[in-house]
Amino acid sequence: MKVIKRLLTNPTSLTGIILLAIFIIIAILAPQLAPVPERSRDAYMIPRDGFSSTPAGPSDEHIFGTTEGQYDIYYGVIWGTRTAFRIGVVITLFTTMIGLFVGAISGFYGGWLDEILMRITEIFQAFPFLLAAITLTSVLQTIYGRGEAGPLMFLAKLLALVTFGQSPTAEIDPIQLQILTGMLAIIIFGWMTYARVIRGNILAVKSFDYALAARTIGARDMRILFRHLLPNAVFPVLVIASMNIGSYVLTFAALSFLGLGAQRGYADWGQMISFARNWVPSLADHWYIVVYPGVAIVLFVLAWNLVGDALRDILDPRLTGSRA
Amino acid sequence: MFRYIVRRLLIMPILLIGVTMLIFLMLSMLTPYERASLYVADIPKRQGAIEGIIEKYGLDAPIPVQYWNWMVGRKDPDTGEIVGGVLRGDLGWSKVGKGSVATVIGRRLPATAELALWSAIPLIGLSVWMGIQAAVHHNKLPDQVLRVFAIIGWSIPTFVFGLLVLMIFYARLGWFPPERLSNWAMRLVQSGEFTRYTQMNSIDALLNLRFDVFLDSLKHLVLPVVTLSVVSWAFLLRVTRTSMLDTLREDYMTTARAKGLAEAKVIRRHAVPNALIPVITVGGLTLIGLFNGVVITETVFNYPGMGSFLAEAALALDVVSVLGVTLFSSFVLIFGNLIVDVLYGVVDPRIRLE
Amino acid sequence: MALLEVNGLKTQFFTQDGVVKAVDGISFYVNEGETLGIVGESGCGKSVSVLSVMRLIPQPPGKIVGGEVLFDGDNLLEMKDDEIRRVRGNKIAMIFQDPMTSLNPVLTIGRQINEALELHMGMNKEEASKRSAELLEMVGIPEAAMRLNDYPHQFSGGMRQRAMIAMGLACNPRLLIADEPTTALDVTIQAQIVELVKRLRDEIGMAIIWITHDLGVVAGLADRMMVMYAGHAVEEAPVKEVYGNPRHPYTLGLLGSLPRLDEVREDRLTSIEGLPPDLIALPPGCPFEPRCEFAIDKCREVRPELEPVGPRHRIACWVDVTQAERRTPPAAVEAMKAE
Repeated sequence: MKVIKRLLTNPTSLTGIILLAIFIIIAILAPQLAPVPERSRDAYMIPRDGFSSTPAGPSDEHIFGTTEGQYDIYYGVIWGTRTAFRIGVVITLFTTMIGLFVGAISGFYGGWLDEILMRITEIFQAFPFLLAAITLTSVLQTIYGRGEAGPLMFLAKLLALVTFGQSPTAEIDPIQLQILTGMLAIIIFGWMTYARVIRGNILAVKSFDYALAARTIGARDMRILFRHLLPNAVFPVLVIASMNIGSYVLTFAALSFLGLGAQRGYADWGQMISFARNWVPSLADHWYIVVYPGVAIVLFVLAWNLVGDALRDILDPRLTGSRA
Repeated sequence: MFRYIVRRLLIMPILLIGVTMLIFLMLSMLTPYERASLYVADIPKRQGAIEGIIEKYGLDAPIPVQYWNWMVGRKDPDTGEIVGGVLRGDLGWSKVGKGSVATVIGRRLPATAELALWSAIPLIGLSVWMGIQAAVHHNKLPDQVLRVFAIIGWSIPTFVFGLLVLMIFYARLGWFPPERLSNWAMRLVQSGEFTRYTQMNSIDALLNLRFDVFLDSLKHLVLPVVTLSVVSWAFLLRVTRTSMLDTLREDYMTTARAKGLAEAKVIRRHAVPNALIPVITVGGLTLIGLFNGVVITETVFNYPGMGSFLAEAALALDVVSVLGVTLFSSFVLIFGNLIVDVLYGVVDPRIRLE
Repeated sequence: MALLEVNGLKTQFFTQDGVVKAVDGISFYVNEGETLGIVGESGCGKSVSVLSVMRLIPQPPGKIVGGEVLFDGDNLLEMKDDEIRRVRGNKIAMIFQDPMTSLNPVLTIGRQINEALELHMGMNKEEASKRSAELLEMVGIPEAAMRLNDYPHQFSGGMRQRAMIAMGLACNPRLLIADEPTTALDVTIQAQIVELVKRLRDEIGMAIIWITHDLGVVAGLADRMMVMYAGHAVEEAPVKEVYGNPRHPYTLGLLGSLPRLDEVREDRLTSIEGLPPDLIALPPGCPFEPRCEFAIDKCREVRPELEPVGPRHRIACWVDVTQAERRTPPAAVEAMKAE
């Protein structure tokens, strides 16, 4: 497809794609690059070399150094890649689906259904995103922490299934529960942009003559929706989704940094950086706590942003040039 | 324009109520016990006493009733006084802040406001100007450089940037310390000699004609301000650049040149006013979006504002505080949006003169 | 000496897909007070030609790569920036096709007209506004003084175009270039605008270059006309000559496809087979050759230049259509072979 060709020739997107490829390889090869110690309970819990509370710099044994509590930073960065992909992809999946659903219904059926859905969307959008994520995460953690959560348990289990491949019949692992609450919070407040965009595109396309023409021939509503309207609406969503994966990972990292996302010792980049909070005055000596995971986050998000940016430039009809 | 504003004014109550409902929904997911701190500061540990409180404040009543009570207040059966009520300004009691949520917000707000205020200058001024330059020199060196900076800025998490900047400029160089004021300045500000008009140190220092305190507060503000603005700066630069590029392609630009105007004038008088119209909306929203950034920035710099309060409360699972701050912030966001919308309507003659 | 004389103008656009030869060596002239009509299909280079004259081609991706443009004896292509700016809007004015997008939506009409007056005539705001009001009156806009404070979106389509014309005429230009000014308008408004322009022309006496793809308008307005195809001038003559004695195969095709009220027509309207060529990959010979009913071998190999075939009548063609036979155009032959 022309789009793929252009993605590969554009230098910005090419950089992004190469970066992503490197990350994917690291994620796949994590067990080889940073072998899981024998008695580890969970591969994603970073192994500790002792319990000393002073972070140690890079050495032969720990090439990226260790944090407070002697968590190996290198291990965390490598396995953190997997975490980042998981979180980013799953959140994007769910937010896009919800957004698509709401937006499609709203745009296609219009009327009072549209009005209500749009008001709801606006209400959700009235919350500053990070604040809402933090709020919902703390609420959810309170609820799940209690043990019985009723219908919300269903959501958590669904998420656990998709993210960790965990069977719905099993109890959710507490290590993962905290992560799931963060993800759930982001998903619940992260779908609105897609809904609006899809709805906008469907409204625009609805008024195009070819949908009308299809109707004239007698095509049924659903058919029109799928054959004619959705494809036009999908491309912008692709662009937004690719740019948003980065922002979801950033938001989750922020949650972890604040102590709300992944828990202490989990292989998550944001979580590792939160160790630096106690060491600000001597940060110059313990630079590795911030720099290694920090660079990982920046490059990861950058990669997605580059690809998304380039995708947007490529798919922008005005920039593809109309020869007059 | 009249219709335009009226429409927005009509939607606002729906939004405000909707926000309170969503907040209350989250609140209602907690147990009555957990919610008790909406009404009382000291939650007794004895089993029976808790039930008493729950009954007293109707924390087990049907949800709609509770919502009503929470919004407008409830008559305390013992004292006959009206207690609580969001509309009366009561957002509950904060475990973490050891005061009513409203009081804590009031106490912490000036610090955040000061931070946001100073951030607006580099944010709006610089990013818009740079965005225009990038567009005018499209695809040449300034544009390439700015684009690279913007996209990197857009990719850095605020906390990473904040920590890095602290690491270099504080830990290593010692130029800009965290927190709001140095110890000596802090003592002075809290003494009787200094009147705190606004609770914003920099402004108050000017009003008190104490330039040394002013400079000290600025010194402490540099790093947090830069950190707070970085991501938004990158975003606004990009938006301005795109808007300007679009505007430069418009037909009326050719018309302007065809009249014999010099290029600089053509850009300044014809392109920029048009390009800035969408930027106003985005810029306003970005400013408002600083709410998100302050949480992280204040935490990294140990800055006692609303953002760090939210972070502390969330960590302690002090849900009442968290919800209170979020409710307040959302209201500000909604009003801010209204102001931005009105501004947009005023500035664009196509809407102003409907 | 002609007021405007264009010789061998070449303008190209450098794009991702290749070099577009938008205008490939055209020559024409306009005399003082004369109206020249330029016709041709979309994409044939009409707009690019006149934009090149005004040096309004965006550089990148465009570039004027050859030729000269003599206005009153001076070569506009060699002028410095500030010199050409003194010509624009002042001695040569231009009005454009879509008045909605060609007028700045956030500036008042008065301000936009004043600009030219303040710049070229050194007027201050009051003087300029007074003159602008006069101009608006002249083009038939009622309550002119009040309308100065209105924005473009508050005008109707026809009135916007009148305002554009007023703006163009502000500094009494010697030449007015009109790039399809009526194409975006309703037919009845179109007629009004053409009438307006005729009246103004008679009053002021300026020369006009009128670009259009509407052959009817040219007939009623222009003294001479030039037919363009694929960046080339193919026929140039007084209007009556072209309509009465067309000599280029393309012109024949254009006129043949024109419905006429004064003839009884028994056959279908003819249309010209095929599509215009890709301006990136122009053939070495005549660009019209693939669609031409009179093409001979030479046409494919050697590009014809404008040569006189009568008094003030020039064509770029190797064939004398008054004597040659019609044949199937080469493109049609290819198409048939492919089947």
